[in-house]
Amino acid sequence: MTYTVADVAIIAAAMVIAFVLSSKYLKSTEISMAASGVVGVAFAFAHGWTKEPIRLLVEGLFNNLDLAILFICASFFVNVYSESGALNAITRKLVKRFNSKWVLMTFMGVFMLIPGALTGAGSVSVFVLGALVTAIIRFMGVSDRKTAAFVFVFAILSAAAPPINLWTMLMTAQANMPYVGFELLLLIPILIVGAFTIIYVGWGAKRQSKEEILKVLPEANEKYDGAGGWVRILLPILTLLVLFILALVLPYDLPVLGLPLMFVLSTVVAILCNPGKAGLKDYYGMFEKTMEQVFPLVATVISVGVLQNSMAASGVKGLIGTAFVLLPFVWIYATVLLFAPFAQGSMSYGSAIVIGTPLIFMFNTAGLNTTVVCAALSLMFPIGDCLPPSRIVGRLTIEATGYQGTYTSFLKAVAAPCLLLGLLALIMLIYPNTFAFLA
Amino acid sequence: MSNHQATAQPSKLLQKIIILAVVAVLAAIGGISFRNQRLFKETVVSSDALTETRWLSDYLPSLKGTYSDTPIFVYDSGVEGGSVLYMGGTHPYEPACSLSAFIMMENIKVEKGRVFIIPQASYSATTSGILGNAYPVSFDIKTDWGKSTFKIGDRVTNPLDQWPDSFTYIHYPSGQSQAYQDLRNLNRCYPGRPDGTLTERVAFAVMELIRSEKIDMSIDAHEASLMYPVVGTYVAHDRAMDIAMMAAMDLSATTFDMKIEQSPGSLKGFTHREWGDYSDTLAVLMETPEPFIDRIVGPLTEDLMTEGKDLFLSFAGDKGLTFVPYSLETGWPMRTRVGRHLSGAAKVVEYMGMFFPEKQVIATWPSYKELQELDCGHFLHDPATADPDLVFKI
Amino acid sequence: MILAQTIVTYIYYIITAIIGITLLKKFFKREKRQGLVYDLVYAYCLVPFILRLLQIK
Repeated sequence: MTYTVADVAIIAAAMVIAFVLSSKYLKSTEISMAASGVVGVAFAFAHGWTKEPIRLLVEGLFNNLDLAILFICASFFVNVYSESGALNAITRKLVKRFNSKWVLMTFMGVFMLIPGALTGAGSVSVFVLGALVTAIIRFMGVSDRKTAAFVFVFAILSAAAPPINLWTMLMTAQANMPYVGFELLLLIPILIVGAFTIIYVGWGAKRQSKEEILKVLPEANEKYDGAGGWVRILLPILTLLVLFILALVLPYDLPVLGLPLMFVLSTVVAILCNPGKAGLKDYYGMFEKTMEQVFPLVATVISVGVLQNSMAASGVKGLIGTAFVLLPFVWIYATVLLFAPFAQGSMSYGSAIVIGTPLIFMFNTAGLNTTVVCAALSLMFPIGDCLPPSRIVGRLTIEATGYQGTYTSFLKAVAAPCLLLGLLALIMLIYPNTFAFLA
Repeated sequence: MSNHQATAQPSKLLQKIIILAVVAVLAAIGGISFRNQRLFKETVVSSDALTETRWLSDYLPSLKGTYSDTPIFVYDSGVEGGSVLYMGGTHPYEPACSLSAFIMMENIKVEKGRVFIIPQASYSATTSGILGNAYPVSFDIKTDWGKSTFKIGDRVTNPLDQWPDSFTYIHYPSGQSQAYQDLRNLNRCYPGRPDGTLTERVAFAVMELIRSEKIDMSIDAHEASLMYPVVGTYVAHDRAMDIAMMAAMDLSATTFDMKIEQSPGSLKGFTHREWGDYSDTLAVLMETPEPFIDRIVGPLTEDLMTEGKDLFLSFAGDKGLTFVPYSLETGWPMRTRVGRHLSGAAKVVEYMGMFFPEKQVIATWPSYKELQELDCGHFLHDPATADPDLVFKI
Repeated sequence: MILAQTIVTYIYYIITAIIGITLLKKFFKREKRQGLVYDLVYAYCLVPFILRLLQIK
């Protein structure tokens, strides 16, 4: 069964048209991705490339099932924790304790880096700390738009930060490279961009007075006072952190829990620490609310799976990869900052496999240091987490921060730090051997 | 309640029920296909040299009754000599490996020593396809008596058999962090643990087989994408380097180009590293070129799997980006890939006998040249006319 | 350890069941996104949870 470039290009165009038209008329990104996927598979079937089109579509629904379960469990944890008043209490305590805007913002930045760095998922940082960080950054006099930018940028930085960088891990796994020597290569650009983001977001913002802030914040439950209060506030988050760390340091003495169960266990702790009275029915009500709240995201990751399967079956995935690897090096340098993030937007972590791995092999052939190349690409992909069609972390950030402006205005707000991250990564990609000493 | 609302509600409910019914039908069609793939068994007719059939669970009882228990076929000449393990199906999305094991089993003759064959090492991974890659479920090989169907599986253990994944995989015992899904990748889990995850237990059982049967040479068959530098290569453990080097030189001079690489010490969990480090065996991994699994190929069809011809990949080949020659005219057909494995294995076994006469194994099976001439199907026997005791559905 | 791992896996099936049941409930009755389009989205998003629960995929 042969095909031509035109065959696949026509399918790609049809998929884009299907996506645009359904976005316009059906007003749902999720169903538009699925519709685009159906069109791709229909073409593949018509060409005789697949005998089981329905199977391919149903199979696509499973691509990101684990991610969907993670999002639901993590959101439920955050809602339970937040409803217990702990988030409010900790915000009050932090505002009382620290006076300096810059110190507080730096703390928030570092806090945001931890969950994502440990789990490899920026979404986890947004889930765990997004609401808290939003509250505090806003009180620093930062606009809603820049607050959302702060949360998003630190979320993607956290995903890229060592020890767990999933893009790097996927590329090294595909290329049979050991996952070693990436710490400094990833961490240094992340710290530079993190510092820039704090200044970019905080510059010119006027912190409200302590009294004003405390007046606006709801009163905390008195059980959150004193040492016992700290235990109630911190125990759920500490449980989560301890479970992350135990999975890393005692991997052979514990069963594999997986992130969703870690969130479930921490939710149980949060329920036990809740000073208010709530029964099983209340918590199920909260779970139902969570499901509705998080559903667009769940639907996005599930729908994008259909699109991914369809792109593979119809050869569109191959067309994108081929177009990119056939470019001369200078064109790769010129376009990678567009290609890599948009690949992330459409294929999620698949971007590392479709574009990242062939590039590593190409750079390897040219005698360039592949560890630096891999790290550079791993810093570019996360930028795409705010780009369509999936824009997963971008949407989560909007949700967590409650930003009311347009999505375009949000994109403009994150542009400067993302561009800096992209440029640093690009310099590493162009001069990999110069940075090899950091590996 | 107005009349309008009263009529709208039941019609909306009906609309929902219709939607649910349609989606249920689609899910059922997909579900039946998944179920069929999960239960599908490949048929093999063993040569009459077969002396015994064992199971992986014989070496680790906790595997019994799981989808990871897999048969081991033993061909014992009864003449004292060395022993060889040939393993296919570590990654079932590289089916030339299982097929080479089947063709070996169907035609093997052993004059000295013992040959152990595991055709589907990661059995659970044969029961599903790779998510996001839209693979066909199987491919057919034309035979002299009809056709035989073989599976295109996954790279990793089916999540129905091992769930959940951790957010990162930490290899035992090195502590090296690897990509999360490699927790289900058999060729990252050696030497394994008797009480670890299902995949780690499979790895441990294979190690136990190698150790307890005192296997002298262990060969792990793989396929690789053409843009992967280690394609068309032997990867040998330090102690097997001399043998693999001689075999590679011999094959390259007489039959087909074969590269050789020493197993890097920094890569943990691989057969070529851990088999050698955790037993006395001489460990060799072989990679044949499989265009189907390159990242930039076009539509993923059964033909691409069997013929290995792809337009997009040929562009990369023209640009010199593939690590073995590639042209659209020849592709990399199944007969070439299977033939490379069969002759690749025969050659290292032959050189083991020269380097270590006490470990000599004399065994024959179809060669690369025979496969090129007669194709795979010629070497598969008709189960309908074979001795039922030698027909296995696995 | 094998037993502990088996228990963890069963917990995941329970989580999947709870999510599946809630999704089904929301398919019929929800507060946000009530239109026909989201009926469809809810319906197909339910599929992987159900098939996983039935140990089919």
